[in-house]
Amino acid sequence: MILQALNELYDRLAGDAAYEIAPPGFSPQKISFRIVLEADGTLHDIQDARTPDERGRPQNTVMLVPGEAKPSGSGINPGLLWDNQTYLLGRQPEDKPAGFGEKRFEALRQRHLELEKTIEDPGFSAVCRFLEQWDPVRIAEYPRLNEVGTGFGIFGIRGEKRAVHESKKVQEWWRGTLEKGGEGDQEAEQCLVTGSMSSPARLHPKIKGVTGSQAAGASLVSFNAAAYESYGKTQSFNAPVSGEVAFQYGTALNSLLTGPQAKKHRLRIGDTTAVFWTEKRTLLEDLLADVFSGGSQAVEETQDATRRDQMRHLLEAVRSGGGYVEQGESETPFFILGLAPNAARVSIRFFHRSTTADLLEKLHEHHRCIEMVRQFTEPIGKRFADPAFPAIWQILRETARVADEIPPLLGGALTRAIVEGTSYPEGLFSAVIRRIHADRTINYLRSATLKAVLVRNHQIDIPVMLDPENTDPPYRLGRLFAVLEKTQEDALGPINAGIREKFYSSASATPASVFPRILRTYQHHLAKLNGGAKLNRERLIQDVLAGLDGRGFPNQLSLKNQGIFAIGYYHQRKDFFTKKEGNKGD
Amino acid sequence: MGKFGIFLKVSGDYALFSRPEMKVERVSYDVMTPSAARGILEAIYWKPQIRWTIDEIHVLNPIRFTNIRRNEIASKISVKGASGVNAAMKNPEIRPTLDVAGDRQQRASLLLKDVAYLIRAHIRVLDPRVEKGGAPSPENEAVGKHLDMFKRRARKGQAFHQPYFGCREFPVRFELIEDESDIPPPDVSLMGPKDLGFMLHDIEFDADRSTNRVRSTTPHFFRPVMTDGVIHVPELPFAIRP
Repeated sequence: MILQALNELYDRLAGDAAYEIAPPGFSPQKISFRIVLEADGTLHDIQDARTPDERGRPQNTVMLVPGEAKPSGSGINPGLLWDNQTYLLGRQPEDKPAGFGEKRFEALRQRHLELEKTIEDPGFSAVCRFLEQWDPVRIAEYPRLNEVGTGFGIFGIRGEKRAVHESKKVQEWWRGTLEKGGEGDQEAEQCLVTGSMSSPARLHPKIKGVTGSQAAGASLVSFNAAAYESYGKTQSFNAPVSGEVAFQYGTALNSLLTGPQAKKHRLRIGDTTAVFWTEKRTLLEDLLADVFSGGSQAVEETQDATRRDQMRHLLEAVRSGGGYVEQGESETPFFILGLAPNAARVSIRFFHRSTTADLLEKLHEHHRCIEMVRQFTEPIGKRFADPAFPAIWQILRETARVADEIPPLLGGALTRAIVEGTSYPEGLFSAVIRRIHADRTINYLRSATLKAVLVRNHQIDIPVMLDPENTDPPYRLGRLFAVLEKTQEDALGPINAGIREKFYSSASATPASVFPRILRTYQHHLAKLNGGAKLNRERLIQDVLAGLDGRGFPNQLSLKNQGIFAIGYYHQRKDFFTKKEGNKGD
Repeated sequence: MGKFGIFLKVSGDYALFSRPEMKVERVSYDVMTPSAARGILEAIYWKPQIRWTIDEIHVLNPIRFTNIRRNEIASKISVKGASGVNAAMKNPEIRPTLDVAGDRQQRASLLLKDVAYLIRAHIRVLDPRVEKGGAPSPENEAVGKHLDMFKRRARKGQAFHQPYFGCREFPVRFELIEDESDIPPPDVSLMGPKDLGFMLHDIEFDADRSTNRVRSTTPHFFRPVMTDGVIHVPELPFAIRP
């Protein structure tokens, strides 16, 4: 389904100029120099084809050239009217054996001279004359070539605007060879994407832009070791995909990952690079990347007023459920594909297909599960306000000490749970608990994440904010712990290691061994409070303890109950810092 | 199909029916392929003169995916050569070896979890007498005994080798359904039509009959449409010879 969906996407993208999709048989390449010839093929000049960007640094020009980028490896594979300096001019790379550049230049010259008669284009013939008389020693005469770096070169004729490979005759001839099935002569086989008989591709296009994979691109479909081959077949003949489909899915996917519109389609979740798209262009598709990557913070960061309104509108729809998708958009198929690098290959972390309406419904359900009273509703100094709708990476960030240590499979599993509406990964829950034990911080995102897992995976009903009626022992114990901590703070002022730093882990895991002790110290703290505050605190403690029904403190709390403990703590703590109706808060 | 068919309910914790285009970094098809179903039946009962034909696959559980990574190796032990498998079969002194630590590759899989299917299939007897121009034996006589053998074995849980869902790591629990009224209904999430794209039907082997040497292997694909969880499997697009 993955290749099929991408193959179908190609037609949509090819029809939309904003995506700058290359036609079949052509590929966009970074061009850094131009060999300008006279009409008779003598060399006029070698020019820098780069243009400075806004900061004045030279940038390669991207041009459509015939053929794909060459496969890596040591084979000799000259391009047509474009290539690097080694092929075009015979430059000898320093780290290669003698004759390396010469052989490649010779191969390129051969290829072009052989084609001269069939193409019959004056520009092409000029290139042939140039190739006949060029001597690689002359590279030294053009010091500019040392500066232009590793980009590719093309040919031009002096006084003509178009490059040689852009001339009408060359282009027509090139398209003609493609229709004949290219240079391959593979027997037709049933294509596993379209089902029709066609000549299968031997190699598939490289996919660029997957974070962490090789810069030159990695393959989605590849058979790069003997153990992967079956039935005596080699390379991609193990999976017959027609050359046309291979080109189309590769182009579509590369366009989503690195094309001019990539910002709208590409998303990083942990170590996974995700792309998503709708079958036709939709407003949801335009906004989703921002909402996924920035959560509700994205609204504040957006400059454009219309766009900000649209995003606010979308988030409102996610919060309240339904009512956003415009007429006719609700049943538009929606796809999300998660990719992760694995050596020279790209592996699939998740692939999900649904509709835009279904996606919004799933986001709404996710929001309902994760909704939690916020600790900081306003930004303080450099600190952002807590997002009402946290982005996926923000949730993941709370599972590890540093971002690099986020468990690799968690991002994909969490995203899948959100878009499919299935159970959240349990690893998320235990990772958050582990972090709480390690740094004794229970913040908004952590308690919201714990709540989401408990609500969806364990069907435990947990409210958004403090629930004084809840008599669940772990919840009560969490609250009790928060009250005891607050009393210590009120009595002693800020201290380095309060009871949270000293006792949180053991209090939440083995309450019976800790609470009697901290209740004794609480008496000393209470004694330091004055009048009304003392009475209020005493009453609150009685209230919280009353809910425990004299059952005493449990010896141990399971991981699940430790989560409820943390939420009880967070709720109570948050309640202390919330202004009460008609009453001045403390 | 009628009286010559069987219903077998199969279920397991995980399944991985690799798509050929993504069999290196494995990605499973959404549902069991007919060739995987055939493999399960053949694990329980098979004889050289019979062939299983899969008629229907019922998907009973919702389609759910999960990820795992496994350590594997990148190469195969060679068959030819002085230390290859062929040489080792002739000479027990030769031990074909592979350096597992040096050849390790980590590969990711996107696999199915909590799967349950119902396989409806029938047996075809390859009758060499027909091939040679003789009269065929009566259908019930030839098929019936094989069918009974299968059923006896399936009832007792016997199998030639442990049947599996795509990879040996994912074993199959199986249960013979003898009464059509016991057929479990599919999950509600599977209601309605669902296009599954092209899926592997089976692989055609073209062998030289005198030497038994395989000349070519051709995969055939078909486009299943799942309606209310049920996939009708078409006839194989190639002839099966004994």
